[in-house]
Amino acid sequence: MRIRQLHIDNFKSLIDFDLPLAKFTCLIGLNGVGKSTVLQCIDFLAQQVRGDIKEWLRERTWQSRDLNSRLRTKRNIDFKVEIVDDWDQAYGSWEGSFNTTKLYCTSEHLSISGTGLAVEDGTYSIHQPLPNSGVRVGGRPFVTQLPAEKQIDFSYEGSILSQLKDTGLPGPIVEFKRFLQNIRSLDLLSPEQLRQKTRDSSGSLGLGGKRLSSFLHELGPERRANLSDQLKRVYKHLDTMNVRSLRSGWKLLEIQERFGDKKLTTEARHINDGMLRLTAILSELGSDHRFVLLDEIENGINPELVEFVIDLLTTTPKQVLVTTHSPLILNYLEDEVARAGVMYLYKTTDGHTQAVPFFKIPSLAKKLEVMGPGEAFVDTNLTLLGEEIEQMPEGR
Amino acid sequence: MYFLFSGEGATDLGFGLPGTLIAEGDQYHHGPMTVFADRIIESRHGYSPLESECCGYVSEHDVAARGHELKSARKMLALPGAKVPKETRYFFNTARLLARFARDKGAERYDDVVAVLFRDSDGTASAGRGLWPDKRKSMLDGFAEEDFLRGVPMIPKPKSEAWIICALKADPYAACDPLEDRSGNDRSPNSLKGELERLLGEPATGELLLSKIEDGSIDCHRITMPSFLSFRERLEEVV
Repeated sequence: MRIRQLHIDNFKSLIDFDLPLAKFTCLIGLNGVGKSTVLQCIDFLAQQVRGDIKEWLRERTWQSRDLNSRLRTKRNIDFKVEIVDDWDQAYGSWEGSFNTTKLYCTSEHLSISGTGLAVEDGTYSIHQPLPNSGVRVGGRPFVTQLPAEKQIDFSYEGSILSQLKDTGLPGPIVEFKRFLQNIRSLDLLSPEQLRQKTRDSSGSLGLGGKRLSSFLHELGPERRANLSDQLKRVYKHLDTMNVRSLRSGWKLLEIQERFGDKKLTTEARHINDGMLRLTAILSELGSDHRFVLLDEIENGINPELVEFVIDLLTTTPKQVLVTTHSPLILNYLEDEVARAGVMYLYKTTDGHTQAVPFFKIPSLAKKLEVMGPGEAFVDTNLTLLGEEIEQMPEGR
Repeated sequence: MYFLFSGEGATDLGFGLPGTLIAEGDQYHHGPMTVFADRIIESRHGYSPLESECCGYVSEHDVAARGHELKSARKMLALPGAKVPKETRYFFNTARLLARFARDKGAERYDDVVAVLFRDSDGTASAGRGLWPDKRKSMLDGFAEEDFLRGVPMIPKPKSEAWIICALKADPYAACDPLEDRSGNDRSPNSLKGELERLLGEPATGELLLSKIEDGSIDCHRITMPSFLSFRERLEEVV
């Protein structure tokens, strides 16, 4: 399962914003065009299913009014997420309208593999195929009875999915719920946070990566050993990477390096920034999460590691969304991956963020024929690119 | 001496019939800009490459198809900077690739080869971004990078319609330089394409332009624009 298309209206600068998402998508563009906002937006949508919007806002030190575009008076955030299955066939969609005052979705329509969920006017209903009805439309079981509408007599934040028990939901909806619940954007990954001792990860690295040590601990010895082996490929002196349990449940990350016949143990607070960031990326790739979001992937990654990191991100079975300013990162992408996945973000004259596949812009399509994706990117005067985009037949 | 042309299509250096990498003889349907080059050589050296059939054409597509030869070393990232302006790499790399075709042709014929590379300054590959002198220099640098000494950039500023308009002007002494500062965008209200169509009284197809150049009603020797003179001087220099 992966997200094929995202539509969002009224989340910060994302107004009537459409973004196709490939298996590997890389957002590029000038500073301030909304690349990080897209990651925040996807994290926000995932939080709908986790619930507790207030905590999500508190952690980011945001107010609910910060969620809306400041260019409009509209308060609701409307969204639509289109899903495909592992064979890239349409699998379903989820659309809704989040009220930034009430902090929940006042309407929702979820349709996944013949099952569905609807929220409207204070009621909700669940659709699922009748067992053994035998009626199929378009290869899928057909609902032959209208589902009963139920009053919503409980309070919640985000999507109603955050409150409904899995046992009462059709299988495909539970699968979709878990897919979204496990999406975490690493848009504020910071070495200082990554160095912290932690007790419990709650299944994620946490904002800024502050729960790295406990997240690694919870991955288990086998996945940790695998991660350690991957790190050894690029850090030749690395011997082992450990997570040590301290008193009261605290977890401490440390590494052992070997220099000749000497072993050197280093605690997380002294590990170099690049290795910590790479450890965070590898741990996310080694987790059960199926969609990995990373902001400014090049930070702390020295040029010798770029090929290694790009290979990891483009060959993982997970869906990946990254942002970058680095032509070197782009230059390691295969042309086909670049054509499908490099999205150029820019702002219209009225301040709205828009996205266009970078190598579908005619001049960039030509350049890609005779140079690498990174060379084409760095050769292009991005400040003047908007004029060409405006002249494209589809407008964007 | 052999002349290898590569352009963007019918309205400039023409096109080759499918099936051959370098179209020659009947396979090569030359364009209006080919005749410009041919007339310059003929007036200077007294022979016509087109009539003597010592020329060929390789398409933009086939030149680009060799692009992988320049893309294999991903770590070799060419960065723009103080000495290398943006929006020039396409011209540099395309010149390098055409130089390789020319070198191969020269080895095959045991002959000197002149390569003429046509790209509009304001064409698709840069959409009006970047400066004409930088693009021309990048093409020359690209030929030089391949140690190819007979490369000729043919880069109208902003596009070939401006050269034709200049050739069609009623007053042969009127300056055409301002045409070079016009927009190359065909959708602009005062587009060069629109002006040329008004001058001709019909759509400026490659076929029409070719017939008017061949019958002498469009004379390249009347073109005094700097971008054309640069082309002519370089062509005369290498032949």
